Amino acid sequence: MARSSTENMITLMSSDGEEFMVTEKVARECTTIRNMLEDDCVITNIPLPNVTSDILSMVIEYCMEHVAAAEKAAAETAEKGSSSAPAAAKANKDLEEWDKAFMNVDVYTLCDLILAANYLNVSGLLDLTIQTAANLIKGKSPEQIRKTFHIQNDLSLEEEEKIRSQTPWAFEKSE
Amino acid sequence: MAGTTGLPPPITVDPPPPQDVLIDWLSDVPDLLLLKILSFLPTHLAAQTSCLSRRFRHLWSSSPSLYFDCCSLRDDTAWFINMVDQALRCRDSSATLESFCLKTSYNSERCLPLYPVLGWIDRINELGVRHIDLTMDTGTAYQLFWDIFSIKSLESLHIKTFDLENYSHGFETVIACTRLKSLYLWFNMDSPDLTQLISGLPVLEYLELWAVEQDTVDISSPSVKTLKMECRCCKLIKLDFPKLETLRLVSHPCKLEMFQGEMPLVSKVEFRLSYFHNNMPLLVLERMLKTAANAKELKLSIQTYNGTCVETYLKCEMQLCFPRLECLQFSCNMCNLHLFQWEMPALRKANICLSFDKRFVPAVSSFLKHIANVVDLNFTIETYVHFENTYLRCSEMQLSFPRLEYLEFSCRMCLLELFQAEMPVLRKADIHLSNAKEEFVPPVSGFLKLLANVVDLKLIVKDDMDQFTPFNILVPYESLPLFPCLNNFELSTPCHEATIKDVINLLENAPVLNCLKMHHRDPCIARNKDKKKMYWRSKLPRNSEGNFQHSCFTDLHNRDEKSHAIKLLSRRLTSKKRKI
Repeated sequence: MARSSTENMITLMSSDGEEFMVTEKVARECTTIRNMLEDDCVITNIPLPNVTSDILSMVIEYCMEHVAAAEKAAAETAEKGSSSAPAAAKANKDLEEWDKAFMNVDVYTLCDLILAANYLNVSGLLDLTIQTAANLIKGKSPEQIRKTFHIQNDLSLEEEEKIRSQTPWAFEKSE
Repeated sequence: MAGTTGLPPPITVDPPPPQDVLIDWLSDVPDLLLLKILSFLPTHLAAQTSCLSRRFRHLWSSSPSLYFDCCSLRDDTAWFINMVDQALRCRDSSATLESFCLKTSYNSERCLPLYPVLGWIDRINELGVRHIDLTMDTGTAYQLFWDIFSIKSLESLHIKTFDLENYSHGFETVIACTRLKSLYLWFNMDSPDLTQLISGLPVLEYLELWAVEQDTVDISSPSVKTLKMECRCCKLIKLDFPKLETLRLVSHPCKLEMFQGEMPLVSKVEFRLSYFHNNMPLLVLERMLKTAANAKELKLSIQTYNGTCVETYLKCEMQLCFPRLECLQFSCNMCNLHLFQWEMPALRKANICLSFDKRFVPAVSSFLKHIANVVDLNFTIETYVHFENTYLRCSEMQLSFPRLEYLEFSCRMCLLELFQAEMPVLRKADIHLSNAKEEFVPPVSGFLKLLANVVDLKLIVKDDMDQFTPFNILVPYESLPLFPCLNNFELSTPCHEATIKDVINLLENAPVLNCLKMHHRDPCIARNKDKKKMYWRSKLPRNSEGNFQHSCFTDLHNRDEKSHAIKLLSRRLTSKKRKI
């Protein structure tokens, strides 16, 4: 699809100084940026000191994919009056598949993505990353969870035993 | 640069390298986000995180959600009750509780004892719960009902019961849920109770009722915008919803005798009437459709017993007008469609699925004339097998769709001749033909002539079990119609030698064809008869995936590409000379 020349481009700058040119529409997927644009519509360059370039490029990739999917659905609706249910269902499924593949990242990157999604307020990406993190916890023993997320255990053995004995209902059945 | 603005300074400095085990990856993640992660976990798993580290020690007790599912926990009722009790006791009272979900098991002892559950409801009431989701038996649910409806903070409620016993207790409690916006009930409730409940919810916007088994449903609400209801054997339905925008009414089996609906703003309507009762007066259907008079979108499905024609009661014509209707979805196995005199001046899109036998061809044809102005038509003819055997070529539907741009059409090949339509501005066509047999091929070229001006054409042809030898689907006896505008062509059929030759012929004769896709479809017959199989074998060239199942040629505008495609397609034919 040809991009209209009137579309505003915005430069996002990561914490390590790398610049990313995106369309305003893509940038608006981030509620934080959208609010800034609405407050002051002449901004074209936005430094994002909390986000590194590799994480920012992933966030942009996510936003672009979701904007493109929404545009495609809108175009189909405009062309045919209303979109057909099976086509819409398929498009949704495709996007879900894409999300799933997109979440194929290491835990370290995932934690950074959660932070970036929260900071930039991209609700779809935040829900996706949070759900992925929750899935990583499911079915794991506390020791495995610590290992997965590199959580330092600052509890003594006695303290840990005490917690377990205080909440037996949480530990008994599933072990 | 027009302007630069700064966000708050970074919280973190350099992130640690992934290999460094000494640094906690979650240390930068604020508690609020960790709580969000915990809220996606069943509560007993969230509680297990308390032994991860000091930071996690009490975190789970402020999680915004509590989720207890008995099914996933070995069906031990006593232990389950203790777990919920303890989890609620440990809960941090100052933290907001967004949602409470309780799923009890159908397999274990049928009922949770009421007393502890009542205690839980009281506790979550104190915690200011906003969303409740319960799955349990009707008996317990009924006794909890009025306690739940006394929770002031409640915004949405979802109750599903797995048995449909009816308990009638009458209303005693005042409904305090003044904030409830969304209500889902799969719950067999007494009719007066339901009436009183719904009218007692002042800001309700979304209402979904399932498995309504009462004879009478009489509900009204000044605020509801979406109503979805599934009735079983309902005889009288009375709806008064001045703000309703979306209505979905399923009646299965449909035994309606009376319908009254007051919903002036409704714009999306769906009626599904299955096992449409022969004695249902036409008046009821007419009344239902009249409530949808201002709708923009109407879905109507009427299925009678075994597709028998309901001739006895459909005596008078149903004259209706839908001035704003843009999109109609209509599926029906009733044949007296000439009685449906509908005016739909704004209709753009129609999705029609009909089954009828030959006696009713004129009736169907007269109905289709009401939708003649559509731009987008999806038309499916579903017929019983006996129609095919008694099919006579004399009956045809002479139709005209002057504005039709998109057509999706499915039927058995033998019925193709029925559909005689003029479609001067058709641009895109999707044609699905099933039960293709050689004897029914002549109408195909006639039909393709109707589509001569299309830009995009997709043709899917499924063969018949009784057809033993391959045959030409595209051009049996006469030459193909010219396709002067055809740009994209997609064909899915058994791609044997004759088909490939037809496609080569098409390639040479369609002047602007740019993209050709072919999919080989194994014929039904070839799957077990080895000897016949070779005639049906795919003659497509080997594709990039190394099989012969599909081929795609693009850029055929380019003369070289086109002759290359023809060369590739001809390669596996026994004789390169075309014999037609």
